[in-house]
Order: sequence, then structure tokens, then C-alpha cells
Amino acid sequence: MTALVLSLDEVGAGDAVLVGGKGANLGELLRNGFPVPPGFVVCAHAYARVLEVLDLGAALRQLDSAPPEEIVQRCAVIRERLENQDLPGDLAELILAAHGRLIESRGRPIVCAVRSSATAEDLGAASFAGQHGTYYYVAAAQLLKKVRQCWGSLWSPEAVSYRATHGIDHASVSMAVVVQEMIASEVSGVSFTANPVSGARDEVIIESSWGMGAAIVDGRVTPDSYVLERADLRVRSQRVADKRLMVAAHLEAGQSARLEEVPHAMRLRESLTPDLLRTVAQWSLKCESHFGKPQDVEWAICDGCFYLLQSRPITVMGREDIGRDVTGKYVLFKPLVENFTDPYTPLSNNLLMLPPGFRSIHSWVYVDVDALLRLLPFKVSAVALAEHLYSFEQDAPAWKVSISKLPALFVRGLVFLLAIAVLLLRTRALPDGALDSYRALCAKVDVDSSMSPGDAVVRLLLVPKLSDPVGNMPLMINLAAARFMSRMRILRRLVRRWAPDVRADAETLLGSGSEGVLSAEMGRGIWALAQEANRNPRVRAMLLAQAPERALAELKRTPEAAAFLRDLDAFLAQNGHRAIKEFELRSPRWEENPAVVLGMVRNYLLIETEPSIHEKKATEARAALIDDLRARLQALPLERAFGLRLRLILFFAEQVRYFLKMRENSRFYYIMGFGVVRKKVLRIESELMRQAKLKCKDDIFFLLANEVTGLQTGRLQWLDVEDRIRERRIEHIRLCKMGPPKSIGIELPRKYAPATQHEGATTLQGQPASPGAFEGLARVILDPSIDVELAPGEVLVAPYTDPAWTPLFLTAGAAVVEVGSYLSHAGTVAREFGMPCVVDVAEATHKIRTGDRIAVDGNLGSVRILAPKADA
Amino acid sequence: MTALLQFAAFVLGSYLSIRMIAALHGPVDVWHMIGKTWPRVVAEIVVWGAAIAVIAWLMEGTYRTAFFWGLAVYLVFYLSLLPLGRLYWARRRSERDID
Repeated sequence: MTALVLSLDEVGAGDAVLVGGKGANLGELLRNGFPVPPGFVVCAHAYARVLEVLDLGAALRQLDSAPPEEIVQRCAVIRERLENQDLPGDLAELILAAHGRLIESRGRPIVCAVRSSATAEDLGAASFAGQHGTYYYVAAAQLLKKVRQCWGSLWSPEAVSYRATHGIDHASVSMAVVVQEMIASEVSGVSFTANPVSGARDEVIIESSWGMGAAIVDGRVTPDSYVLERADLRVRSQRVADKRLMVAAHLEAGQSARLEEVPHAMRLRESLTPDLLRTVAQWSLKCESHFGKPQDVEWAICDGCFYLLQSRPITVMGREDIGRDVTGKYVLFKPLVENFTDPYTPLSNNLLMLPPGFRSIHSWVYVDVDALLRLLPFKVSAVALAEHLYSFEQDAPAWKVSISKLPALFVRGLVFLLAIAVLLLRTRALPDGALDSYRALCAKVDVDSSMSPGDAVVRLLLVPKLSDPVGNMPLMINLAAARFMSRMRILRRLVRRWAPDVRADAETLLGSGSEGVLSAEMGRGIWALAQEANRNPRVRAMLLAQAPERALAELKRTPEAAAFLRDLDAFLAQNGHRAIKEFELRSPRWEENPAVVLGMVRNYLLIETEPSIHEKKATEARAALIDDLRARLQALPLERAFGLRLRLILFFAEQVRYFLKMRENSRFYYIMGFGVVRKKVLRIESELMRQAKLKCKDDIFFLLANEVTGLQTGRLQWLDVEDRIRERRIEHIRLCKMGPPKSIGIELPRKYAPATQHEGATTLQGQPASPGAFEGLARVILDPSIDVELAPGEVLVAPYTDPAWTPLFLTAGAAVVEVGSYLSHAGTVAREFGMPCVVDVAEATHKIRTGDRIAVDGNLGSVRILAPKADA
Repeated sequence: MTALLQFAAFVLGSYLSIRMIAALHGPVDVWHMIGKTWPRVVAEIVVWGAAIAVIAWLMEGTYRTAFFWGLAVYLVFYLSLLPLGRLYWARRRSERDID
């Protein structure tokens, strides 16, 4: 008789046709002594039997010849019948009997995990990622229903569409179902027997967190992370994360959601002891040894025992594979890179449409080099253009003009100029506060319930009304503010022509120091909050002694903190739309989580330096520079009498300041627009969670706009999107860890990356962003809300920076940042504070360690590691 | 020569059209601080409006017609930008299956 239900230990690697890839893999491990939770498999024959009983064979055979518009409808009928019709009595008995034996073998009541195991899962490149159902915490009463739902998931619109796209015959796929005991894990995680990002084979990577593993795999928590030497399992590096959430193994009475807060005392505690860490690594390596390939292992720890939940080959898609399916040439646009260090979440990527010339590849923003080449009147190769876009240095390259391109480009240029001519005039001399009307527009769009998030994007960010004030078009103002580049170029030429030996950063210094730059005002606002906190010892103590979230809760209960909280509210009323990684809709805004602002206030409380000292220093330097220029220019003809050259220089310096301020302030406002779109998304999320169509906070950001609409209208349900969300979360994390390739379809010269050895010191090359030289001890900071200690004179080494990092610049002697350009936040702030800064230093936070003595050269864009920590 | 002058009149008309439209946007652009900036805003409208009127008055026959064509063509071009933009983004939205 053909097997319908088999115990897991009865199957092995060669049984994939019978029990699917997942079932065969788990069975293989179990029968070879790996600690896999016990269970059984409802075989593919059982599925075939049910199809026969339901008389669905003909319907399946006709599917491949059906018109495309009818396929989804026909599949829905098949799915509906599979999910809702009772199983044949004998089959149901077999499944329940196997379940009974499982309970008996465990000697106690258990709940199970029910997982699809499609027999076509090994078809070439088709991964079926997220297409088929998986159900956790299934009790006996629900078992048969969940098995039917697994079969039904083979006929979901997504699975059908996936097969159609990959040319897989619908009738050729079959489905087994694995039923296993659920492990009530105290700690769980994933391990990789090779580095999945770098591909390094001498490392074992382990990530762990409290509770069930789903939260790690889905990216809902940041896990503790360990890198072990493969040879002796020595810990090479480790990072203990602030683990705020966990998926609980047991539900308390009255509790419906499993995602819960980690008790405070456990948040920053290591989730794995050294012994357990070793155990996890050893079992992971045994898996690799058994299968003969690097493995990605999911595991759990329950009552101190290790359980292996899944082991599969690592499917490493390296950076070089990203965009392999994309035609054309693309490069990261340096001025934007620091805003997009992580890829967009699917919803952000879907909603925030990029203007022509840009393209989202794997949710990172790239410039289309070919499109730009067509628009430029220069004889320039794609590589040279890509290199310029990527490095985006101050000096414009000296490209030759292409005569043959000129006529067509003249026409295009003229049309473009005519299209923006009115805008350029309207933005020529705007008063400070011209953008204030945008705040009112945002409030209006926010309360207009007839506008979807997509409508809000168009209204607030893309297409204004004819009667709108120019302040309602921050994106257009941002475009108009690009004029600072031409003004800066003229300023540089004038200064270098008439005073060639003046200090190297003269133009930068002349162009800085505008009043009314909102980012700077924001920094001053946080400083003012710190001053207010300093006035009240109790408030100061609360902020310094506790994590910001707890401090906020306590401040609200403390009458003495009323003045501070009032100031905080006033600050949030102006700046509450800002966030860390604020170009991403998923990022919580400060008004939602004021604890972030308190973290920054805390940073200011920890340092003694007043921001105005830096500003004063820069103002004095600027005044000295102008005196120096005046003195140098007076040697030129007629300058003493009329001072025209100096006036011309100061005029263009004023223009640079004006347009730079406009650029900075427009960004402040369109982040406000992003905030409104986020609010609309959150309202929808809240409604969908109330209707149980979504289960977890933030899940909505892993859907596409039409899927959100589908959930709203009832076209889709939670079961339809659950696996999609999970798979997209996993992919998102993977891409975040990997980081974007600098170019796609084009090879950039390798001058940016390599570290070189010279006179015993390692030199890392980056891009100069603020001039000057500084030598000091390095402080690597990965998250400004956690790692806040930066002693005066230390060198800040960071992966990226945004406004949340500004307080750290007050004490730093210099800054080294992994991404960014001359125009990036780090460069702008460093120039304002007159400190050296080097950006775009590849892997700086890995190559430099806290305590290393380093020399930063902001003129050459280089960083030398003079003495590693031990010797420093 | 006449054609060249007519073309020049057309270009001048387009240029003044741009200036006038920008000036007319002035009150809207700074509406919330109009109390502080109205002299500049009104001056721009008056200056560019007067420039158009005076030039049109000074011109003769066909040049005046070319000048008015310049004014009108840019105005129509400018007014068509927003509907075109709206159409473009609507198409992008539908391509991306938003809503």
C-alpha cells in the first residue's frame, strides 16, 4: 500500500518526491541522530488521494490551457474545495493516529507546527519562497484544518502566479505536510557555517535572541550576534543587542498576541552562555559536515537542550549578484547614499516613486547612467560619469563638450529651462519661513480621510496645484536649490583666481554659517532642552540614570519635570516629524517616540562642550578669512579704491549660503510630507490589526500598496499575506546586512576600497568632506541611541550619520564615516564645527576598533591606523 | 529682417510672460508673510505688468502680434505643465499598481 502518513524518522534525503524537500531534509537529520523535534509527514500521496476524492484531476489538467484571466478564478475554486471539504475518513484517522502517537511518545500534551513541504521545491531556481502555508501552535482540534490549508496554499493566487512566471506546470506540483512538536524555546536563533554576506568560510555566524525564533527570522528583533572562528570556535567578535521584543513560547491568560516586550533586566543580557554558543556552533558544523555544504541552521534551546529546527544550504547571493537580471548601467548617487544605507521596505519602495533618471534596484536608489549620458552635452564615458556620480567631489571634472550632441540637447535644455523658469524666479529671494505653508498643507492632507497614502504622496511630494505657494513644493525647491553648485563653482574660481594661496577650505568656510538653517535650529532646540534638564537636578538624574523610554515614563509622573516636558512638547511640535533614517516610511517619527529625542538630550548632558563654542569658532574663522582676503586683494589694481573683487566674492558667498539653506530647509519640510504618508499608513495598519488581517506592528511595510488595498477590501486575508511578509522581512534583513553594490552593470575603478600598508600603518582611503588633520583615539559608534559615550578629542567612527548623531560631533576631534559625500550630513556638520571629516571609508567600523590610535586627514580623505588598540 | 524682429518680439513676449507669471505667483508664495513683503511683491507685478503694457503699446502691427503670441504661447505651455505632470505620475502609479 502507498504510504499516506510516515513518521519523520522513516524518511530520508532520497524521499523528496514522497515527502517534499523540507520533510526529506528533517527526516534525514533525525535518522542520523540530530536533535530534530519528533513528528510525522502527511505524504504527497495523501494529497493526490484527496484530489481524486474531490474529483479535481480534470480541473487541474485543464489549468495549463486555460486563458490567463481565468486561471486565478479556477485556482480559487480548487483552493476553496481543498480547504473546506472534509478529508476522507481513513486518511483523517491515519493523521490523527500519528498525532496521537506523537503525543504519547512525549508523555504530555503538545502543540504542533504544521509546515508545507512541496514536492516541486527543488525545481531548479524556483524557491517557492513564501508561497506555501506554515502554521504554528496548532492544537489537535485544528490539525486537520491546517493540513487542508497547507494543501490549499498550493493554489493561492501568489503560488499560481509564481508557477506561471517560472514556467512550472500546475499539475506537476504536489504537497506533503510536515507536522512536528512545537519547541517552547527560551532562546532561539539562526547560525551560518559560512558568512552569508562576505562568503568567508573561516567564520561561523550565530544570531540569537530570547523566545521563539520567528522574531529573529522576520527581523522584528535585532538579535545578539556572534562571529566565531571556525577552527577553534573562539569568539572573534560579538555584539549584544538591545532585545526589546520576543515571541513568547507560552501565552499568559487573556493574552492574544505572542509578540511581547522583553523584561527590562534581560534586554541587554547575552542570550547565549559560552557553553550554549559552543553547542550551537558544533551542531551547525555537524549539519554542514553531513550535507557537505555550508548550512543555514535554525535552532532553539528549551530547558537547556539544543533542538535543530531546519538546516538548508546557504543560498548566498553576494553583492555581485545583485542586479544581475537588470539591464543598463546604474551607480549609487553619493549625495543620497547616507539616506539610504538600508534598502527601502517594500511599501516605501512601492509608494515613493522616484523621478526619471533614478531607479530602485532591490529597493536601493540608483542613478541611471545611460539616461544621464544622453542628457549631458559632454564626451564622457559611462565609467567616468559613474565615477563622478559616485564620488561627487567638489571640483567638476573637465569634460570636453560634444558638438554632435549639442543641437538635440539645446532643444531639450531649452524646454527644461522653460519648464522650470518660473520656479527659478519664484525661488530667487524667498524670505525665511516661506515653506511654513507646507505645514498647513500637511495638516489638511493628514485629516482628509478620502486621500490614500498614494494620493498623499502625489499631493504633497510630486504634483502641486497651480495656485499653491512655492512653499508647498519642497521637492521643487530642492531642485531649484541645486543652483548652489554653480554659485559655489563661481565662488571657487573667483577666490582661486584672485587669492590662490588663501586657506584650502576658504570657499567652504565662506559658504557656511547661515542663520535660519532648520537642522541647525533643531540641534539648538535639543541643546536648549538639555539646558532645561540641567536646571533641574532630578530631571537630569532621571535622564542620565535610565534608558530614554523609562526616563520618559518617569518624567511624566514627576511634577518637577513639567517645565521640561512642556519644552519637549514645543520642540516636538516643530520637529516631531523627524526620525532616524527618516526617508523610510517604516521609521518611527520623534512625535511617536520622543524617547529618541531624550536620548539626544542625554548625549548633550554627558558632554561639557557648548554648541555655541563651535559656532563662535567658525564665525571667528570666517571673519579672519574675510580680513585675509581683503588684505590679499588690496594688492590688485583698483581694489583698494572700489573693493569690487571682495564684494563679488562676498555676493557669491551669500548666494551659496542662501541656496544651501534652501536645500537644507526643503529637506526638513518634505520629511514632514513623509510623516503624513506614514500616519496614513499607520491608520490603515491599526484598522487592519483590529480586524485581525494583520498580526504584527510594521508588517504593513512589507506589503505592496495594492496588497494593502486588497486587505482593506477583503480581497486578501492574513493567510494570503503572512508568508509574503515573512519572506520579505527575511530578504530585507539580508539586503540590509549586505549593503548595496556601488554600481550595477558597470565596473568602477577600485580606487575607493582598498586598505594599504605604509610604514607599518594601515591607511584607509575615503573622500574628504571637511578639511583639517587630527590624531586621536577612535570610538566606533554604531547606534547613537545606545552607544553615547564619546570622550572629548576622540575620533567618531560611524556607519552613517543623520541629525540624531549631531550631539556627538560636539566632542569629537574628527569624524570618519562609512558612507556619504561632501554634501552629506557628516560633512555639513563637520564643516560647521570646523573639524576634519572623511566620508566613504569602506568598512570603517569593521577595520577600525575602539581604542585604535588613528590619524584623520580631511584634506586628502585618508585615515591611518597608527597603533591598534592593544598598543595604543 | 522682419521675420527676425518678429521672432525677437516673440522671444521677448515669452520672457515677459515668464516674469509676469512669476510675479503673479508672488502674493501666493509669501501669503503668510505678505504684511512684511508686500512692497516687493506688488512692485514686481507692477513693473512686469507695466513693461508688458508699454512694450505692447510701443510695438507696431505684426511685431505686437508676435509679442502677444510669445506671451500666450508660454502661458499655455506653463499651464499645460501641471496636467502633464499629473498624467505622468498617474501613469507611474498605475504601472506600480498603487491603489
